[in-house]
Amino acid sequence: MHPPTGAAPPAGRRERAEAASDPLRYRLSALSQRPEARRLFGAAVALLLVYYAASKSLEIGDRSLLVLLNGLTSAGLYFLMASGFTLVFGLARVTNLAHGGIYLLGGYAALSVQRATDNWLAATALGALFAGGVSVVLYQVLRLLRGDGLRETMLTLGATIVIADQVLAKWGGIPTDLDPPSFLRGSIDLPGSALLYPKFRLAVVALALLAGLVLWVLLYRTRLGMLIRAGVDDPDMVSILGIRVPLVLGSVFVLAGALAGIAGAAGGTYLSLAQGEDNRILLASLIVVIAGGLGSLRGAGAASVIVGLVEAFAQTHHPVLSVLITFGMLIAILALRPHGLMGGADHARL
Amino acid sequence: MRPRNSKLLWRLLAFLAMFTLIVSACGNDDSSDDGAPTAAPEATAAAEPTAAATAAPTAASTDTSSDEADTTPRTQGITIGAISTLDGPFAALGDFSMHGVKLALLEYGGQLEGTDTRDSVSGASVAGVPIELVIEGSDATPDVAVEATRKMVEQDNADIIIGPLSGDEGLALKDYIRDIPDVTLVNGTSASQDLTLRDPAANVFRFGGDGAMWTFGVGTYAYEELGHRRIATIAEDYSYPYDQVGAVLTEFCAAGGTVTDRIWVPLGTQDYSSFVAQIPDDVDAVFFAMGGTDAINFVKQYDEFTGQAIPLIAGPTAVDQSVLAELGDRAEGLVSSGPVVDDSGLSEFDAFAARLDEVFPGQTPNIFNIYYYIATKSALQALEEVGADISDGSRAFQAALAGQSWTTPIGPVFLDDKRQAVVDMYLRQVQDGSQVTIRTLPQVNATLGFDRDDYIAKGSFSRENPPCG
Repeated sequence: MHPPTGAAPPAGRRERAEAASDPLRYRLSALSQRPEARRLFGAAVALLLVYYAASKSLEIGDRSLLVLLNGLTSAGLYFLMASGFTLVFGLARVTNLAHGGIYLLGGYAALSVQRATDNWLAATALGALFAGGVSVVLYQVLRLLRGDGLRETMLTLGATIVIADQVLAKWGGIPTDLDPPSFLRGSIDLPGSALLYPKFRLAVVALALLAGLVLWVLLYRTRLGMLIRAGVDDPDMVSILGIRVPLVLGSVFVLAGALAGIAGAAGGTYLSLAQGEDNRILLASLIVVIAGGLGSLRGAGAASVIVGLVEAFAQTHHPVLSVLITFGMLIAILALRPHGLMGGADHARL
Repeated sequence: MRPRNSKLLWRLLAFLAMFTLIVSACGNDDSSDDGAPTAAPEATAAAEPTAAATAAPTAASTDTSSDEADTTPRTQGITIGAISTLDGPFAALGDFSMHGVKLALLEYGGQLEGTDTRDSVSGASVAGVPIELVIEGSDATPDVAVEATRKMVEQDNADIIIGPLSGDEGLALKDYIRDIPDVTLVNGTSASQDLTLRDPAANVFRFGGDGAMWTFGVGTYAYEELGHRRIATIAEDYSYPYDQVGAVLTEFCAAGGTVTDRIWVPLGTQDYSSFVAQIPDDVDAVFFAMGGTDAINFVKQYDEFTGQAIPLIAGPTAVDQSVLAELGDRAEGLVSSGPVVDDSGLSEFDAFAARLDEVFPGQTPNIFNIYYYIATKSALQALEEVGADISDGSRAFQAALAGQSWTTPIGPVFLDDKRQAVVDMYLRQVQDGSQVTIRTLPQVNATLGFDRDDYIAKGSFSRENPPCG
């Protein structure tokens, strides 16, 4: 590959020697050092992938619309989970592996409320509240460890197991689900085709968009949001300025827990609640968060859409390889951008 | 002052909350870990296990308790180890299976030590020999099942193992138990064909059907009675669903039908929307083989996406009584084959259902409590025949077990020469939330009525096997 004219300095002796001894490595490093070449390469790969996806999608005709919507639905659920996870990581530097457990707890709490009141919205609200409460209790316990990252992670892992056992004892192991609110029951006809799409799934996408909007307003238009952003950038400076960082951290934990609780209620409605769901959703949100860049909210948003769409596409066209493709995509993203799509080198950018 | 105080209060609160969580969590585990040892002194009051027990894994069958034992060759108790999935995605099914084990022991004079799943049964005896029950759980993974069984065999000196629950666990336990001929494995609900069909082990017994036997008859019925000619299948991507799809297609294709698509989904998929989208419009029916959560998720989403425009035919465990309630109206009218129906009219079934509800209020018969009950009761009956004497390395006991022939709550059972049951199956339909018989399929065997050598030569069922059309 020839370097673009004018951009490259003449190759020195050392460089030439490198090129001779290990041509592939030299070319790769040359590639990574020249932004134009990198962009060109990236664009070519992206073009190929888009071409492949489009040709595959044309094969199945209007069902591609289903695949697209399925991907967006998954993306919605992933975003609800990943946004809280990434906020907590960005601010508290805690890898909260109990996030899946809190999802399950929020879902089951909502189930209990729905059985008592037969009201989905109230159930979801109370489930979110409960999950937020559990999350802040977890935060208080984490504070005892005073920022010892490894032990904090182990503690959250332990909390997952405790939560799963408590759920099993309280709600039993038989899989179950919530009923959607009456106005979201059933399916709608997709325009221009004979296909059906469940109303509630579309509502999940709307819910995720709403959550994204609320988060944006909170982070960029309120004082608390300002503190959170400042805390992510430079926690020491923020505390020196006399701001009670624990309070800010606590509110982020509540927020993350509540989002997980909402996700639990939504997932428990269009999917189901059962033992093991906590780990499944945790794995999915970990992929999203890592691909998006730990601590980056915009990254979580972008990555959840990418992961959702790729997953839906792979499950449709290469069902046996679908898990492999999802992880392969994560590897590819990390190979090109080691800190994720929008992760910073040493600190995260919201 | 105030911040500090409130901080302290917070921590105290958090600590208390965590503490109660931990204590209550441990409470559950304690009963499992300690239940068995504390039960031992009562059950085996006549002769404590000797200290040498740890030296020999199967000490129970060889020791004669030195001085105390003089009249009978053996005064030590016999230990039954029951294993099922008490954690993980199949935890509820594990509860059901232990109900079955305990019901059988209660018939032999046992008493429940508590209401928890892991609480043992004490006081049971056969021919004057006390029977002790040890309970262990797995999470449906083969590794954990083998470790739990190894613990029961080596530390609790279990002589008989009842279980496990899932297919791949069964294959792993077969390989483990094969090398310990004194210990006998009586299968619970593991439905892998090759637990007994290929390369059987002499000390492994199965008193129920396998995945293919459970699915027997539905392929022929779909072609001949329902008039289906083209079907698609959708199933989880591992051995047990391969067996179910294989059995359906073997019959359906032999009758002249064709299969357009075989869709395989990863086990534990939550969102089936992208898989449902692959089902073609021009098939007469869709056969689905899934278990537990997967079945509930799939049926719900298939219903939402298609309104069940193309009728479903179910695999045996997808519409088992254990998930019917959660499936609700969406399961109405589904046709399947399977070992358990609610209207068989067998007096043994009605008696079992009544006793189950009496001992474990609210429980109803399903494949798990019935199969574990049959396994345990078969073992106890065989023990009775040999006077509970297994001092010959369980040889006489295993011979008696192989000869068991009795009427279970789901019909007559006897074993073939590979120690695999020949049992009745039912073609059935869901009506008002219960399984109603369409017809009884008597004496289904491991090769579905085909010639044994031919059947085995066709190879294990897989993603592509059997070929069709």
